[in-house]
Amino acid sequence: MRCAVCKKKAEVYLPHHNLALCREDFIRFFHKRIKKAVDDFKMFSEEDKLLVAVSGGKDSLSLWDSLLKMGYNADGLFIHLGIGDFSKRAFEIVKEFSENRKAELIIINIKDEFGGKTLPELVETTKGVPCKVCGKIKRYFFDRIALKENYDVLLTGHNLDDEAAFLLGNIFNWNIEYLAKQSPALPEEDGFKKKAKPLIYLTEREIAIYSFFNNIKYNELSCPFSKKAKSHLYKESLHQMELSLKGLRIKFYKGFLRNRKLFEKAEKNYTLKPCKICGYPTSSEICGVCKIKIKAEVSEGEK
Amino acid sequence: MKVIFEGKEFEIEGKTSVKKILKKFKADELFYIVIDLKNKRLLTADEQPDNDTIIEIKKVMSSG
Repeated sequence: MRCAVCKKKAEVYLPHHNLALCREDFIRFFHKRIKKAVDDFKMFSEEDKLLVAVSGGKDSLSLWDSLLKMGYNADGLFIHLGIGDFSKRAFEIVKEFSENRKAELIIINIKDEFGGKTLPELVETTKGVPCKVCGKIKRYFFDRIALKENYDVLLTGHNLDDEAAFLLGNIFNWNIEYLAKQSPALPEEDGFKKKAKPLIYLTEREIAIYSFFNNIKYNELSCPFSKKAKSHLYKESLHQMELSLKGLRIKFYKGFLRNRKLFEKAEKNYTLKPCKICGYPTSSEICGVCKIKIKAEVSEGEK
Repeated sequence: MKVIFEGKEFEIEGKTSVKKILKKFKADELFYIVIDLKNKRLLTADEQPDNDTIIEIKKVMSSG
């Protein structure tokens, strides 16, 4: 197989693009896909100060690596969740990544913010659903740090497979409001900074190839809580269907992007106001994270 | 040739294509990458690795 661009020996074949590429042309292809998403959805410009939420996984690290190589001003934000070896390994990887590239990394340790409690301890004391508690806490700190440190755009490493799986889940559950909000880029509003997902045109396989070619070490340990996550089930289902219906994920997601306006009219059935305790935008009197803090403290007092 | 798949090592006799190896392990090209560990490069499905090659078939789906 020969590279479609330079005719050298190809190292990868991308079935849904029907494209064979050598290493160098694949890396160029990858950066072009990011640039296309950035331009298509007016995500950010070269002057913007970007904050990349990094987990230690291949998606967020490949995104950060790409943005730095493409000349953007991008810093990283890592939330240390305290989930045993999983978080320990993720932290080591992210720290090494930022040091090797001399890139700025902001670290938030859950234990420092929740009176010495780790995420598993917070889940236990609040009797919450792990992925919901984790998501709530991560979103909170992503938003707060982006605002406090005056970043222009907050970026996440969600890829095409993630977005197609979210979409499937939102349709299965007819979460019209979530469908209205599922966007590659969300504007700055209601006290939140602008958010964007520059990897929406790239599959997990393409990201794995990019991380291999660029020698990006990433956390291969599984989060012990993620086994029960419904998003994995949706992703697996789409993969199973894709085996018989080639290109299904892309058609499904791109079709949604073309028809997103159908859901935009979905009215918000809430208004946001500042949390009475911390000031974070919330639809109730007290935000979800402050509620977790209160519950955790109450449980501790009951012991 | 040696094949590493899901952390286990397998021996494959004779020359064969990556496509056939993937089929043997029921691993679709869409969700796996095939790494030539010695030469630190990826292999496409049409390639026929040499007998002394060690390859890893790696699943690309993240697990959380």
